[in-house]
Parts: sequence; C-alpha cells; structure tokens
Amino acid sequence: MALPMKRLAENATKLMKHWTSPSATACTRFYCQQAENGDVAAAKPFDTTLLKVLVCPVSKQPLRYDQTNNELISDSLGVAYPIRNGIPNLVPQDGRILDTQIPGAKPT
Amino acid sequence: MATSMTKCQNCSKLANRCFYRLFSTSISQNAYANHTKESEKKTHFGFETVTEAEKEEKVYKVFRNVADKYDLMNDAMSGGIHRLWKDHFIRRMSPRPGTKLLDVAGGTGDIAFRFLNYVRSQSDFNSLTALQTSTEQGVDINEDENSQVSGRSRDCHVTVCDINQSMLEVGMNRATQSGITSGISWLKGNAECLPIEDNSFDVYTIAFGIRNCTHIDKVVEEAYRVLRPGGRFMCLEFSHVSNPLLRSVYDEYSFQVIPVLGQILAADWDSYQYLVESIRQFQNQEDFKRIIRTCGFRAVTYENLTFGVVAIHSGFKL
Repeated sequence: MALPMKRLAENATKLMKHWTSPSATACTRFYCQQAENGDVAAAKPFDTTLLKVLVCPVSKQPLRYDQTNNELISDSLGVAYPIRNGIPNLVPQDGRILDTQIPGAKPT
Repeated sequence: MATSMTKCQNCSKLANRCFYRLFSTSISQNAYANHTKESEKKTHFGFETVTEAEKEEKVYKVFRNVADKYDLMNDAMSGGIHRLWKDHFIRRMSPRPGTKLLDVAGGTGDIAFRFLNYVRSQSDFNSLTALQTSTEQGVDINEDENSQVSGRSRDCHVTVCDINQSMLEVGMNRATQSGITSGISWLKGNAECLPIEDNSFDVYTIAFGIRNCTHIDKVVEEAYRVLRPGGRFMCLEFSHVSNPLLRSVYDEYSFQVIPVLGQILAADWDSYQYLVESIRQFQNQEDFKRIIRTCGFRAVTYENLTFGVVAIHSGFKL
C-alpha cells in the first residue's frame, strides 16, 4: 500500500512544482544553505544583551565576545564558538579549539 | 571537503579537550570512555534502531530539510488545529509583563510570537483601562508617567533556542516580516546542554520538540537548572490517545495521509514518516509526568487536548 502511494505522491509533486512559486522557496533554501556553509555576506548583528545569560555549553563558564572574529570565546576551555548571521552557535560541536587556525586563513 | 575534515578533527579534539580539562586524569579517562560508550548506545529514530550519535545527526537533517516548509506542513497536517493548541498553551501560561521566557526547540517562532503578542496586548489593555478609569474619576495623569508605566509593562523577552540554524533563520525572517523588532533573541544550542546560566529564566517552554531529543531526562534536568526558583516548565507535545476507536482513526491518518502530504507539499516522504513514528515512540502522559517529577519539578500536571493527541505538561521549580 505504502509503495504505490509513494510513487503516486512523487508524480503529484512534479505537477505541484509547475504551480507553486519557486522564488521564495529557492531564496529561503539558498539562504539556509549559505548559512550552513557560513558564507552569508550580509550577516545580522549579534545581540550583545544575550551575553548576560550565555555560558559555554560544556563548562558553563561565562563567554567573552570577540568582535574582530565574530566569535564567543570560552577562556576556561580555550574554545571559540562562531556567530552566524547574528545567531550564536553554542552547540558543543560548533566549537573551534583556539590553537588551530581559523578556516580559510593563510598560514604565516 | 577540507573544511568538513577540519571540523571533524576539531570536534574530536574538542571532545577530548573538554573532558580532560574538566576532570582529573583517571576520572577524565573514565568519563571520556563512558561518553564514547554512551554515544554508541542504541536508541530509536522513529521505528528504526540507531546509535544515539546517529539519532542526533538524523534529527538535525530532518529539520534542516523541512525548515522552509515547516509552517505550511503544520497547517496542512493538522488542518490548522496546531494554531489552536499553541494559543491554548499560551493562555495556560498566562505570562505577565516582565516575564523572561526561554523557548527551546522554538525554531520558527510560533510560541515566541504568541508570547510577545499576549503580553503586549495585556499591557496595552491594562494601560487603556487605567487611563479610562482616571479620566472618569477626574484624576490627571502625567503623560510621561503613563508612557513609562506602559513601557515597563510591555517589557518582556523571549530567547528562542534551537539546534538547527535553518529553523532559526526561518523564524528570524518571520519576525522581520511581522514587524517584531524587539524583545526576542535567537540562539543555536542543544537542549541537553544549554549554553545558559543557572536560574536565568521565569518560564521554559518546549513545544513539539522534546520527542526529537535523544535524552529526554537530560533536557528536563537542563530546564530545571536554567529556571529561577519558582519558575515554570511547560511542554506541548504529541501524546497518546487512550480511546481505542479514536486511536485507530488517528493511526490511519498519521501513517496513510501525513507522509503523502509530506511528499506532495515538501517533496520529503521520509522526514514526515519519521515524525509520525516518533510520536508513537514518545512516552505517554503519565510516564512523561513521572520523568518531570524525577528531575525535581513539583506540582506537575498535564492536560489533554483533542482526546490526547496533544498534551500540555507543566511543573514548577519549588
């Protein structure tokens, strides 16, 4: 039952693509993908009032805002968390250990 | 490719560094070994059995895929009823002016926007009533005082936290389009290890998000930590329908209609198949209430909506 329904739905999807406007969807998908790649050019500013409540997700110690690199630094762990499009990315896996180079930076 | 490899190396280095710095050598080695073992433990992803590490990644991908169609699909799947559930959720919260809300798994901002509108409309109504009363009594109101009072009473704030950047950006765009320019912040974080200081918020909400988390008990423990004493935990989530006839109708609708809608409207059968399966895997009302109580909350209650299709659980940090 499920497999024929799936094929029917896939065919219906192809028809829907002719009727739905692609511009908004494509724009949002592009925007999200660019954000995932960290390539958003016109990034929104970071809301610094958040610093009152934000801490490192691992050590629960306060964070320091590095405006130059647009990162939040956990001095207790030596980790930097990026800010993408004004949104601080404070999932532990987002952290960058500070003795590594910034991705894309040329070695001296 | 190089960037993703660098990120993978950074992640494993970060995991090593975090545990070795936080604990003594012998304890940190045990802790890291335990952490590694825990990530290999099996859990469910819908009806599929996966490792805990895999589940987090799979859930992340589901919501990255559905982000730009999330609101449309919510309307289509529920016939718009999800709006009524969320409206009722906010009425149950009855937030007062000055409330600081943390909305976890808040993605596209449905709860956050309702919260702001509720508090601000209450404040406006109270200001108008006060002005009318003073006029009737013939008492002069200083205009500056009145505007200061109304400004303070409108002062509420919501921080939307989600693990998915795509969902947050959809929410940010919606806020901009709705003209909401103040009182809201956006944060990417994991509900199981929130980047939030202890005792920071008055209310913690998680709506249609907790069933996607790998360790529900850790999520509730983190909620307890970040709430101030007296703060309130509220969860809106799909739950279990006890009536057998209604349950069979609901199951048929879930498994025969929703994935089809997902394919037609979002070109994504699998993500919506996962979503309906994950509802069946989540705890029932009483079991979830027990988890909330175990994590320290008191006065824990739940309320069924739509015959138990959805339930609101509430508890206080006393």
